Amino acid sequence: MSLDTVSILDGSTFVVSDRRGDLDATPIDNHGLFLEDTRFLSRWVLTVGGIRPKTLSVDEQAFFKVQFFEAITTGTVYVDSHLSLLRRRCVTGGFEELIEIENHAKEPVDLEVKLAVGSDFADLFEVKDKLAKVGELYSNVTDGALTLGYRRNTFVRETIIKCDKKGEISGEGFLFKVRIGPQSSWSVTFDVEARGRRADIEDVESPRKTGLLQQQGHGRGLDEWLAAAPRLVASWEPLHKIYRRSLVDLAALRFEVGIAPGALPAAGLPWFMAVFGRDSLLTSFQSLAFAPELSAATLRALAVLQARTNDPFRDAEPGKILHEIRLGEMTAFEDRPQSPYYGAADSTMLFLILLEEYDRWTGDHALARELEREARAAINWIDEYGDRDKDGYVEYERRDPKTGLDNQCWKDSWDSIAFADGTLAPTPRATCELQGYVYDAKHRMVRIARDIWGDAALADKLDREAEELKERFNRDFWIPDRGFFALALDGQKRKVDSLTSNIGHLLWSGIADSDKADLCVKHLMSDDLFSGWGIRTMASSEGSYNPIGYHVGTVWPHDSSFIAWGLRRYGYRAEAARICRAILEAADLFDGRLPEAFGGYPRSKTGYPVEYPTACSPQAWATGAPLLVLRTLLGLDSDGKHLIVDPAIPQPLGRIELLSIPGCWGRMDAFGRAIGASDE
Amino acid sequence: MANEGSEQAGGHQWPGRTAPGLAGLYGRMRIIVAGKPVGTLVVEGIYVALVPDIYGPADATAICADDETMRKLLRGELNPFIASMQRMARLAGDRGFGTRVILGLQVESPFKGDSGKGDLP
Repeated sequence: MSLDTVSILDGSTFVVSDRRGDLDATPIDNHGLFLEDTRFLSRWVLTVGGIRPKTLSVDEQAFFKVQFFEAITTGTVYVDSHLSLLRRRCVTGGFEELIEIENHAKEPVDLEVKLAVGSDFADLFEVKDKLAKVGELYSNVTDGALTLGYRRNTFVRETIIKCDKKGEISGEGFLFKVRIGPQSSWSVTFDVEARGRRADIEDVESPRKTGLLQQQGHGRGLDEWLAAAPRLVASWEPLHKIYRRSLVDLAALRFEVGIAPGALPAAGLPWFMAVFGRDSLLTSFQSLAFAPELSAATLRALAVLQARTNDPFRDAEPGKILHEIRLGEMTAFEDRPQSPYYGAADSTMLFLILLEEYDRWTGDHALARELEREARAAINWIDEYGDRDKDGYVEYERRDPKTGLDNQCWKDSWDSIAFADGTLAPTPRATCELQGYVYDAKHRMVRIARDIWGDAALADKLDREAEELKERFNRDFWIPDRGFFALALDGQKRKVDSLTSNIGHLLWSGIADSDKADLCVKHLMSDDLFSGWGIRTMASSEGSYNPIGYHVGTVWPHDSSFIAWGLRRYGYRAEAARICRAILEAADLFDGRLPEAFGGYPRSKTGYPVEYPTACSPQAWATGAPLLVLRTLLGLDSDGKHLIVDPAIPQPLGRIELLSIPGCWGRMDAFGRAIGASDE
Repeated sequence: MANEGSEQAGGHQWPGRTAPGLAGLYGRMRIIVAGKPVGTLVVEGIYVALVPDIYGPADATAICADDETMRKLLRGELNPFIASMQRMARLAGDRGFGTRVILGLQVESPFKGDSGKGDLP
């Protein structure tokens, strides 16, 4: 997210403006009011007396509201401005905005206050490309309200703008000719309503709230959310800021999809405020010890949307868990497959992994019973469809070469799966972490099948299959002369021999044999992979390495957090603590909010984590990273009845207390301190 | 797909059809076409029937723009998300149940062979 923009949001509705509060969209400046992956407002530019106000300060009060303080000035330092301006904006299924102008002079002033408005109704996919619209844009003024609309057959989207002051209204905006007395003020309030695909139904089922009601509801919701989370007491002061930032950002990213109770985490602001299977599942896993209700909502929603049919355009097969849903025009007319798109080879296993983790952590066995049918379908997908060529490994290859994703693992950029010399691996690709997830999912489902579903035969079968996979994997993926697991097997079953962070996920899943794990740990903690701020996605020794390459050298905080969790699983407590400390120190330097990714430059060279230019922030699994790090540092786990606490905290972090942790035990506290740290 | 019956709690036969994709689902979905209620889809596990009831309780409502849209949805031939985005069909009420029903009908819908007669209004 650019530092030049200000974003506020509520669920999938969000507003991205410049620091004046204006929306002035260009292919470079992606400003706008967005809902359902459509830009409902691309222009919202305020001038007073022909001048665009100058920003004095921006007060981002909460994730859903912001205030801009401005002066109307000619820019010269020799003339004081006598006019100041306040813009107060709150997201409300669109937004409400108060504009207040104060005249500080002893004389009255006559002003033309103009608000230029417009909408291109661009699909999020076309925002950057400025594609020509197929349908018709229109506008009309009725009863003091300006309607901007777009129609393509039955696809209709509208933005309705009303205000509480009489002025001149046209298709281009609003003009007010006002006289403000000495030391007086004038104000106008705008109500902008974005009417999406379900507007008429929502008018009846959940009428739009006024700004004040919305603010009260949001404020209460956030307070309750924060109060329900465990309380942190830490001797390393920045940890409080990082923890609170994570909780607040996670609250902001929650949204209700309407097909299952509760709210699940969207993937990230601004371009990923949508249901993403992998992102929602991993974020829910990271935050399970803090907000277990996110896991339940995620699992239920993804179960409803589980694929039922075989659909090459959408990369769907029965039992598969989705990758992404989009609701914009290009999806509606099938130029894009996200309705939903199922091109993720890992989300189905992650669904099973989260289901078991949730069951064991919370003791809420009802959910595993409720989702038994979907979980069985997911298990069936792994061997029936995930293993495309029946070689015993899950692999992926897009079935629609025009619209499908080339890479369907978490490193989904085009160049992420390459040999050590930089050559791209041909598809189908069986990446190593996918096999780890299969092992973990089957291993976890043994308990669910036996204890919750009462199906001992299935439990035995899964147990046997998991152990066979582990043996096979440790034989087929191991690269003896380099001492680590191959990134993938390519389409010709060759080992893709790059050293990458993916080997850390094998520790999280438990598929690596202990002796091989030991060698992998040495690689993970080497200068080639560990930058000092986290684990690089690709080692600096490899042909494709680029410290600002999206998946070929940057550090992703979520990736490092899962690797640290995996190190704990194999008993590498000090190494896990070292990575956790690095992530938290990076978070501190990002003012508490970790971005999706940052540069892989060595810490010894930069002294601070270098920003990645287009990283999402807040992004869900980056937001969840400090939470999983806390869980790792305190060694928090559940045996299905009790909270297990086994801390391993590095010296600089001192003492950590996490109080009132929810789980199957009710609420419990956990304490840990570094060896040698004082109790203070 | 042959019509089959299921035993109801009262002991009498109920003329549902087999819909394997609806396994585990129970509930009623009202169907509205062009603003007019035309019937209710009654789902009982893997059995489903379209009945002319337009007043009884319903868990969800499928609002269809026209007759053709309704038929495509029942036959499992229309992606419900596409239909919703294009405002051809939308769900009200318990959208989770409604979505499960419509997606479930994509799996061997018993209405697939209907030529516009039979259960369909």
